[in-house]
Amino acid sequence: MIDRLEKLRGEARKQFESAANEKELEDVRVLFLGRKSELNLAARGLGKLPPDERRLVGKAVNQIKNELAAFLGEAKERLAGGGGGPGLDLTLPGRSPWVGRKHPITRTLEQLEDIFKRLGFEVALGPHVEDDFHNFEALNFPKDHPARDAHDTFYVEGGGLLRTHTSPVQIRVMQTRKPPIRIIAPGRVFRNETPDASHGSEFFQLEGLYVDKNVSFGELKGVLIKFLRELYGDDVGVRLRPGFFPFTEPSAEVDVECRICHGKGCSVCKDTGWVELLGAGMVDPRVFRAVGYDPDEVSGYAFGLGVDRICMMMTGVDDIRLFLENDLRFLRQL
Amino acid sequence: MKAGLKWLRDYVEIELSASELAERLTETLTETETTNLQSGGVSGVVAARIVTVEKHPDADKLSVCVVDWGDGSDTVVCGAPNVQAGMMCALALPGSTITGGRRISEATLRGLRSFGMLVSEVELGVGDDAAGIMDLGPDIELGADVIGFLGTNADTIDVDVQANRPDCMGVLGIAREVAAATGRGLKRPSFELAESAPETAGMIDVTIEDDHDCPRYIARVISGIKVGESPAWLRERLDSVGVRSINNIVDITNFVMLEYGQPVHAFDYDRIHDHAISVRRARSGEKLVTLDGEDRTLDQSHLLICDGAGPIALAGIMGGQTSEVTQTTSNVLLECAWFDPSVVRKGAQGLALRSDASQRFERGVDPLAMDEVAGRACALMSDLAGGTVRRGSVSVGSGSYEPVNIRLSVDKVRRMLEPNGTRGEESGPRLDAAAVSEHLEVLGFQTKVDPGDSDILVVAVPSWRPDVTESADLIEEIARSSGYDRVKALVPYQSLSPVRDEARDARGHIRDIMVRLGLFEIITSSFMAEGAGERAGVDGSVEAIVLANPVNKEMPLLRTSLMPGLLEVVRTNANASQKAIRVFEIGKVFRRDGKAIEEQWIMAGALWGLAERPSWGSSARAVDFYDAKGLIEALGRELKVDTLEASCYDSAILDEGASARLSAGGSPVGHVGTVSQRSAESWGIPDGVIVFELDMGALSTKYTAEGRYEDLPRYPASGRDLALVVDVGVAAGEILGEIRRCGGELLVDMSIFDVYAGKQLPAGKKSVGISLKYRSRERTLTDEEVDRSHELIVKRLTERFTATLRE
Repeated sequence: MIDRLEKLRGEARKQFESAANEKELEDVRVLFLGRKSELNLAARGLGKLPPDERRLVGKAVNQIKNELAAFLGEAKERLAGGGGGPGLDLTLPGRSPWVGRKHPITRTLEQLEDIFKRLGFEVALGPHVEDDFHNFEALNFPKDHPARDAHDTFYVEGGGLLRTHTSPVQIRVMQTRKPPIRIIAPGRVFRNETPDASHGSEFFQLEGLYVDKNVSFGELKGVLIKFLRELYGDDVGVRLRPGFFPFTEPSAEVDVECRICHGKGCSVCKDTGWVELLGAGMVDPRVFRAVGYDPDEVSGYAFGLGVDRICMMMTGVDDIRLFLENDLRFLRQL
Repeated sequence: MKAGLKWLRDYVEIELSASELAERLTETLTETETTNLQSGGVSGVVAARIVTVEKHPDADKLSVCVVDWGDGSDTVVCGAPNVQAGMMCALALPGSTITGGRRISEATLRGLRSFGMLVSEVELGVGDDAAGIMDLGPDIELGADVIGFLGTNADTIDVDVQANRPDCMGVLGIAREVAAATGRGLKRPSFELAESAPETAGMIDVTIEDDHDCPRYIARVISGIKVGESPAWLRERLDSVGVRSINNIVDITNFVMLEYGQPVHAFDYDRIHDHAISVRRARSGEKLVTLDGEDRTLDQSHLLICDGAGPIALAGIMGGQTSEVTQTTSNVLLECAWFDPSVVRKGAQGLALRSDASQRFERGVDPLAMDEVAGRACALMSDLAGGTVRRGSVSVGSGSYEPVNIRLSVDKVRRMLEPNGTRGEESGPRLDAAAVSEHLEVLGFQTKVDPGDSDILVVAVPSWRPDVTESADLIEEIARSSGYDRVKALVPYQSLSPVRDEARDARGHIRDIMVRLGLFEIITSSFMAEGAGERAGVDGSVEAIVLANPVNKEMPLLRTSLMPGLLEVVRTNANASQKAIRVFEIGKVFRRDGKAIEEQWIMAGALWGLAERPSWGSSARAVDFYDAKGLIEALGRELKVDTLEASCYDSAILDEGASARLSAGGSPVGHVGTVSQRSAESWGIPDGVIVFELDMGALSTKYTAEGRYEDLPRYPASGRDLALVVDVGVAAGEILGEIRRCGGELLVDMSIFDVYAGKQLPAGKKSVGISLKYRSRERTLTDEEVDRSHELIVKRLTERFTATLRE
């Protein structure tokens, strides 16, 4: 009897291993493990055996049953495309789920907002379609002034324009609230220029504004240095130098030490060791007057930065147009 | 604005190198760079004097020169026509390199040995004169490195002049900033003007139509000039800022403009009809051929200079051809005027003609310098072109200049730049009235302390600084003059508690969930093509915002839907052989509502291609409607939106049978569906793209960010399955709704595990397999209790849907 079972095992193994598809495997299973299989019959017949033999044969039947079940499992796995052979092929790649990701601009914005929120700023938003007053006049861009040259503007038929910067949000917030005010205004802006690798006709800015009693230039400097250290680390070099923005006075351009060459000079920083990152300044009294604040009572600072540019510096993206193209191969990299 | 160092040194001593100076000005004025002479690998060329010149015995065009370069002297054979004894020239010694990497060695020309070569500007790579060898002039020392010498002299800085600084549009203005930044004095240009009778007044007549457009106009006449080449010093100065020399008269007008920042114009006096100048607006349709040869049609926005016959110049922008100075000109009418900045700017913009002159007028030139500038130009025309300057000038208009005086509180300066004693001993003295005065006076401001209030400085603003009108402007002058690096940074402190923008937070929350559901966020353009909205299923009554000046003529509208941008992303990615696309965007759409413009936040997304990430064990199943619907349902669960219901939806781009309107709590929030074959073809996308659109505003009012805790079940649940055979037209949603209504409190969950229609069932029937779960919060249910509840449901369903149970 035991011999018979041993033989059965050899035969079964051969057949399980050679089953070429699910159907054949099922036939083999029925043949060896089904209700009418020899093994099952042997198991049912155990009761008729003398006790000693019953124990011995019973043990063998059980063992062989387990082995055949293992053969079946292996065969199933083999047919499912698995490694065949014994055990798992640990080198086969696993099955991953879909994993999504936020757009790199969104992630950069979140990073920037996170820092400014820790510094006590709240987020304010404004419309994309603006009027001349909020986008220019109130920000001390007089009509027909060369200061408007830097802002190639999209005009809307029937009046209005697409905001050329996030600064109109400053005006809207000041018009509806009393100081103290401490906001950041992130969002999309528009410039009517033919896009190239470093200029988009749509891109993203983040604006900051703080208005209170006795706000000083030192506080502006302090908040910018704090922000840049949070972004780039405590050892980052920061430089403020004179600049011109109609809505701030004094105005400053803010440079950070080039992250590529660490100030030694390279092609990214045009050998200067510095990269221009922000525009900033103390709110011009003309702006306060435009929103009905008294410049003798309050002072404030404002700053703005290009989100795409910061993202490009962090990721090495060298063409701003890629951000709105949404090539999945690009999005997967970042 | 470029300024050569050599030119700057006419007005201020400079000991810094060009790059040091650029750095200093970047700190105190504005971004400044250096533009270095490109020596192009030229080396080993030295300055030599030509001692003697003799004709080559065997060649007419060659000369044999003895040259001396200090360290030695030898013979060089030269073919240039301009070799002269005594001339200082550039000698490329044997072993040196000239442009193009050409190595020079000893050579024999027509039998005579030549020790190196005398070279031209072109061969040195410093100019474009190839006609002869370069004349270095007397200033260079024998044996000096020529490139080094020329390089130093050609050192130029390039100042990024801001729109509010007309004064820095002249080298003199930059020199003033250099003087202030380096603690040196400023030397103004000096000249002597010799005038002769007759009086200019009798030679020219000037009238101004509107003194707003032109508050002041000065005309002078210089007679008997000889048009010719400019002297080397003048050519060199123009060259250093990239202006090409034309002739002495034109060069002088350019030089004076670049020196003072005040444009002047030279007319040929004899070509001015009636010797009468009038300044007036153009009449619509009037024409003028400008100096650049363009025939321009004008309108009322343009200000003209006219003579007795008609227009002769576009005021402040460009002269006209008919009155141009030519080689035969002998009498010059010089114009020096102040034109209204915005009139010039509008005129130049309208004609797309930005000239050196217009860029200066539109910033506002110095209203008090005009007499000096006109005199300077006249003196130069007398010196360099042999002209006789006629006595006096014709000056019309009194100008519009009002002197500006500002009362500046020193305390306010300190509060802005050095609040609360932030400047410690180590960083120098605190700003006081004396220090503030000093910072301002080096820039040309005059200050005096108010006798009645020692905190107040009365500051007189110089006429060349129209940008300074109040104390904030003066504070900037002080800040930049003392250096921004001296302002101490203060640690930000918090005194405000920021408020949340709930709608924005909702968008962020939804974005997070979409990403967790395995989608990539995209950001697409706000612009769309004409008709794209309708093609994307937007209702025809929605009025799009039209751009008056789109950058891309094909995309003149603001998007009324995210769909066009989304489908474009699908198209390009499918074309790039992506096997699966799972993307969404949260963005604004725009529409006009009468006079108002509405901006609305929308989420749109698309699924296409493989349903599972490709892998050795995965099925190759493509996504279908239920994948997208399931995704939105998952979003709904995450947002804890009570109920999300689907109903029939009709859209221009979706497949009629495979699109659904989605509602939450009874109000519509969006839709989901398969893009119809026809639309797919029209958008150039593959078949089987499933899209969805959700109104973020509607959705964000319906969700709950936080969950509520309920006791976890303590007793086991019992499951019962049933397979209901119903007419194929019965919607699964109705069955589930019925179960929900009649389920009783023991029913805690239900789900559909199978839907089958096929051979094993009668035609027109389908079987819906439903799993039901029963549980009590108080006790373990007995089989009998569960069966009772279950049978009630079964009974109700079989009646309601005339259904049978499938075995």
